[in-house]
Amino acid sequence: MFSRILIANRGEIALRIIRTCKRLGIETVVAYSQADKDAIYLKLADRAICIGPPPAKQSYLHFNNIIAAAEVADVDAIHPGYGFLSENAAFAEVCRSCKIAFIGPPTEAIATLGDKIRAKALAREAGVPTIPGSEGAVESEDQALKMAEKFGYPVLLKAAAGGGGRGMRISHNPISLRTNFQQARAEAEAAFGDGTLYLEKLIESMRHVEVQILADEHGNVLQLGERDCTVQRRNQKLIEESPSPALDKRTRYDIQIAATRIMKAAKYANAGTVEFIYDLRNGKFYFMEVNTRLQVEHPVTEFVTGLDLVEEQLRIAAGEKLRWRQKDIAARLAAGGHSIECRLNAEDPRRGFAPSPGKITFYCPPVGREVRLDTHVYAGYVVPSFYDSLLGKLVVHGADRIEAIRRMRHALDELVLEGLPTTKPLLREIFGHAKFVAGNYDTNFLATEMGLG
Amino acid sequence: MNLETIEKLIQFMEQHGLTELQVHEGDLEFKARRGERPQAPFIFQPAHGLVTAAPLPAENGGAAPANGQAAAAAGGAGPRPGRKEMKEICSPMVGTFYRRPSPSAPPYKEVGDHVHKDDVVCIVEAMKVMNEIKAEVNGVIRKIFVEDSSSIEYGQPLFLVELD
Repeated sequence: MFSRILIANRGEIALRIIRTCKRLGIETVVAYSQADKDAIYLKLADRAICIGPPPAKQSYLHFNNIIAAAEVADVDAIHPGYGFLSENAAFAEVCRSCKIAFIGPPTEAIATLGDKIRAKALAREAGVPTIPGSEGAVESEDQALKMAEKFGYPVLLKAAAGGGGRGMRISHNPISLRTNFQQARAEAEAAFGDGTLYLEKLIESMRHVEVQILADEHGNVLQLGERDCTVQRRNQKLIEESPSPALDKRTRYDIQIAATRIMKAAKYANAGTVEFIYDLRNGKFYFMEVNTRLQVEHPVTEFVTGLDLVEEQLRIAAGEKLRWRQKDIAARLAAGGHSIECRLNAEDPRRGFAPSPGKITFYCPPVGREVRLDTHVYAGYVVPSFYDSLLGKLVVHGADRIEAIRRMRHALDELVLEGLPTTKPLLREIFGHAKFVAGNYDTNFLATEMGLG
Repeated sequence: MNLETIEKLIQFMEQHGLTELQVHEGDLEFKARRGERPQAPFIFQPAHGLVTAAPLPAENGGAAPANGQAAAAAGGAGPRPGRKEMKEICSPMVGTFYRRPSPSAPPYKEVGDHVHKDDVVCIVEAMKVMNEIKAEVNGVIRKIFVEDSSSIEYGQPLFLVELD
């Protein structure tokens, strides 16, 4: 096991990783930018090293300073968290060539699965259903138009190098497809450095279901159940839960198996998540993409399995074999109850979810049985404007979905977070909404039921 | 200035790890020192309620002027009458700090040396690459904050230069 690691991330996830390391007796070194100099977790780590000025490009995305910090602090491994460099194959490669373990999948798996076109091809080869669409890149407008005729409108143009819900455009007819094609290409080039596009039929009423995978470096692959992340705003998740309230036993089983097949085919190791679209119109599911990192919503799976996923990541990266068999996980899930998470963002729902950095004047967390709040904020904390707006994740557990929902309601009521607009009031409303409670909604829920597009 | 204020000032020193503190309030002056003599005095301005860290030269053991003039506005070290402007050379990267071009060579600069903006003042080594750091200011080195071969982070002050 590692004796010292560097955490190349910030905010709630940096703190969350420090906690597991402390429990395991692993020394922590945290890299931070000048914008995070007042972060409370800097004092909790064994050492903190400033790696650059506020902009992410010069700090959290800056290979050289991060690796230099890892060397100066003489760490065994780097945990990249999520976002930033966590899915950057080049960074993983640089770490490993500097003899620093990268706590994540093999470089090749990151590269293959990070390319959405190649990932889709891999899924097809593994016998997993994929969304009807272009088998590879769409090279021209004319090609896009021909395909759209074949699959039927509406269609979705997606960036091959994109992810996390970004770089996607919907077209309902040939005219908008022509316009969108050029624009999507330019946007993809600007945002991801790669203008390659692929095309898919747009599934109009769907749920987002993903499966958590753990794989070791000895070829063992486990699935830890699925998470349903259907409540979204502009493809950004707001609420996640496990198990999914919408799947029957058969579909659940099929999706879980499909996820393991893809990850085995990709020769995956460490933690990762396979995302699927569940088409409510025909009850079919389709492979969407793989996230080759720990996800924001991993605490939901931790509640229903009783595992610490960061601990599993560390053990896997240190070369250990998985300590569980699939039947152990199945037993845990069967007794695992229900867990729900909601994301608290510094955003103003009344102003189109505009990011609202500022100072938290009053903060009081909810506590109690089966209530977990992963956050780095404190009263007096100033939310910087340079990074994402996630303030924290409120996660609850219950014997069943209704109990979890009730627990979330009073946890949200107990939570005090003042000084800037947040998504807390909106979340509280959702947990009181009849359709949400009934489990009967699709990804358009916020738009159609609450008028928030 | 009563005992309660003095107690608060002492607490203030301990809280911020200060080794020397001087407070001037009208005709009254409070001076306290704990531990070793400091290098860069910390000036407290009760009239403004501002506490500023002014990296001033330790000319006569850290005594501040009795005229209560603002030594430094919040956010920067402005020039004071009779004193030159000081600037810190900070590290632009993370790595290991070396004062010499090689272990057997003499250091690039010593305290008291004049530097020109294109002069190399030190090396910061990162990932086996030796990066020469230039002064980028003209002046005289008054203090070197970091020891040879120690690890440094982004933005860490390396040299204090009294500008020409």
